[in-house]
Amino acid sequence: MKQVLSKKHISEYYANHFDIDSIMLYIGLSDFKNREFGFVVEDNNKERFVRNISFDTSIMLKEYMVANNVKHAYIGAVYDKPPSNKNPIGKIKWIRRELIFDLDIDEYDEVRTCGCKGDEYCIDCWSLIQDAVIFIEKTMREDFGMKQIQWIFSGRRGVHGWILDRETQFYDQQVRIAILNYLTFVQGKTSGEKVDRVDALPTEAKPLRNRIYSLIAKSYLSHISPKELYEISKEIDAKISLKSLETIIKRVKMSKEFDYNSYNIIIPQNNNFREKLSQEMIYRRFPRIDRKVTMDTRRVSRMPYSIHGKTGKIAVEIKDILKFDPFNSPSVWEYVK
Amino acid sequence: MSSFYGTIEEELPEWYIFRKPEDFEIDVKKWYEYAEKRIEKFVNSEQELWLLYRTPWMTEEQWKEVLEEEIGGHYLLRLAVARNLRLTSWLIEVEADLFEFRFVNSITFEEKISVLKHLYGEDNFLTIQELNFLLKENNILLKFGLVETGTRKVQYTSKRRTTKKRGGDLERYVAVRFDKIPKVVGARKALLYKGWAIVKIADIRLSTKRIFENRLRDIIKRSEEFLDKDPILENTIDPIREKIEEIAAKSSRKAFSDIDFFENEGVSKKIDCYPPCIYELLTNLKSKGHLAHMENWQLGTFLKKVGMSINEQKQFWYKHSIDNVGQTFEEFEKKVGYQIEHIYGLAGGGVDYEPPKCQTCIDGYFCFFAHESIEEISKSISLRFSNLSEDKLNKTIDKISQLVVNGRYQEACAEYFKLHTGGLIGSRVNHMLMYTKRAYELLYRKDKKKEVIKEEKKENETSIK
Repeated sequence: MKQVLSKKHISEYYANHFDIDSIMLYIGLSDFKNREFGFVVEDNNKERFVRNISFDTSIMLKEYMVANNVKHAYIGAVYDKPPSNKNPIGKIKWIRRELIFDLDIDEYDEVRTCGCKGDEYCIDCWSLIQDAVIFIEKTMREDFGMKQIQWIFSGRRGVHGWILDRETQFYDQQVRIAILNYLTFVQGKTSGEKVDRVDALPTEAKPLRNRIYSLIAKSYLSHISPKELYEISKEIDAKISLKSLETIIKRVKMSKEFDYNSYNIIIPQNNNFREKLSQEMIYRRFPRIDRKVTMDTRRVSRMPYSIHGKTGKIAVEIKDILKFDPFNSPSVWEYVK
Repeated sequence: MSSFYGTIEEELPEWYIFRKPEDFEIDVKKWYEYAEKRIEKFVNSEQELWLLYRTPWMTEEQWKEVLEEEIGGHYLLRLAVARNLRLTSWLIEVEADLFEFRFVNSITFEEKISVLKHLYGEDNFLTIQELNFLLKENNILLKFGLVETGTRKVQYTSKRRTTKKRGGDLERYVAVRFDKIPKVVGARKALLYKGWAIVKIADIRLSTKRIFENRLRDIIKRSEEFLDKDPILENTIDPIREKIEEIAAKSSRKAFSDIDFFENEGVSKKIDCYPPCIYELLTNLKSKGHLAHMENWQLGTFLKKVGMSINEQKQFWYKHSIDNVGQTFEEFEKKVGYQIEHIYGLAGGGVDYEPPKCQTCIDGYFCFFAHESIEEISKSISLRFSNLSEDKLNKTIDKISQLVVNGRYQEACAEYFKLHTGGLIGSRVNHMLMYTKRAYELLYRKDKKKEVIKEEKKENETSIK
């Protein structure tokens, strides 16, 4: 039976179980007064979205959340003045905002073969989110030199990656777009989901290419059946037997330290097949980031540890994406009776 | 500041205009002469003259005068343009071209490195040697299989063995903090390693030029303080300002201007042909009653070029401007008429100004796609084309959003044009007048429309073949 999220539940959770100090670990104490917050609040059974709100202290923020039946809570950017109705964010100067990646399962609708659509997900399609988290985190650390990365469960259909290295908060839209472009291989629906060719990457993008042939290739070849791979090879007339493909998949699955060297050894030296394979693996398994969330410096993002108003789940921290179970993640009803 | 190559300030070449100059005194007459010579240098097509070097037969005195001319000329031009945004843009453009030419032609690698360190900041720029040291690596280039600098690369082909010489200093690798060269990073042209982008100097040429331009813009802005403090200085620079006005106007683009066409067809009254930037400026003006200075200029020069007469334009601003509250037309004209006359070349430098091209709008005027949020763009498109089907609108908005997100504003404008007129304008829009003329032809001249569609069909067929 679906439980109903009442004002009492919300109020009790934020009053007794919500640790406001943990939020400070994400957004820091400096310029707190100038930070924008946004909320979806419910009044007389009507939900409304309010933003351009700021608080003098974290205690006041908590009090607001306890008192106002907050269905969803969001954190925005820091401005030169405290955002308010008189000083809405469109009129004041933007100072900084965390660099955030948003991964939602519905972005993969075109390639999900398990039957799930939209907000639904199963263990099989959740692995797409796991792949994306691992790939993005490794790229951010190794290529971009980031050190503090924290993943949060959104409470419904995906995860948010918060980069907490302070200098990243000052990145303007151009830098954020550059990071996104570096990480985007599947162009949006409007571009016909065009896939960037991995084999056409310049020499300078070698670390990225090697990472694709390690992580994405391993995941792709572990999820595909020999028969499906055989169909792909037939499309380009690669003349590779089903038996060879069975062996390839077996070797990949058994390989404990699969990397781009293993890929080069295991995959047949057939240029057409390799090109087709790399396009398929990118299309089916490569991270699909909601670009607007990362690039828009004035956007609000879900507050860690807040309640997701539609599911009642808490936006908890994810320590290890491979061990995190979204189906059994904490909900507000575990805290309040 | 110090580096492997010594102190950065000491290493900076004489041609580099941000180098701290030696103290010297120049009389006003000489100052004018230097400034005029510098302007001539900019308009001279013989770029060899742009190089600055000391010949063996040059005495110490002569060399000193060359340097005085260089620094003094530039300094006066900087002051002369400081209060005028258009002239500032012109000076930045020509100084940046000069900088780029001298940078590419600079004699030693060390000279290039010192300039790059100065522009990017020492914390953000390293040689590969320095990066190896910082990250405790033996040889990063070797680690990632990048060919070491200055070597000869042997290429084998099926027919014969050829030797290709690598392209000198510009082909050598350097390391820049990745956030300083976002476009290069986004295009995956840099090897990213622990936050450092390892790139060929040639690949950051454009980014370097942009940083130079931004720094010069800041310096020019600060020069205004000198003028505020010293009114005599303001009068001193007047003749040079006029000279620049004249030169800048000569070098402005006129390619899309076709005043006869616009006047004859009465395009100024056909608002439905206006490009999104102008349409948005008009909407804003009507709702708010005022625009920013540069936006006023953009709208004013556009209206002039599509055939609005000076009197019509005065009436137009009187009708829409918030400044008219409690004023008669005569009073209003007295107050702001000068600015409108300036646009028509009837005041100030007497120049017949052109509206800015798209790239200039993106950089410093108003471009609907570069300067509005995606939400605003989508809202505005839905409102302007509310007669079109929701499906068509959503598809175009999606496409435009994708282009805007990727910084491809002129291509986004071409998509907008397609929705607006049902015809094509090429892959990108380059000028607001080009947009208007084409839109007018498609929306108002049915004979022309047929012709255009026929041409497009033919083009498509050829490209398919």
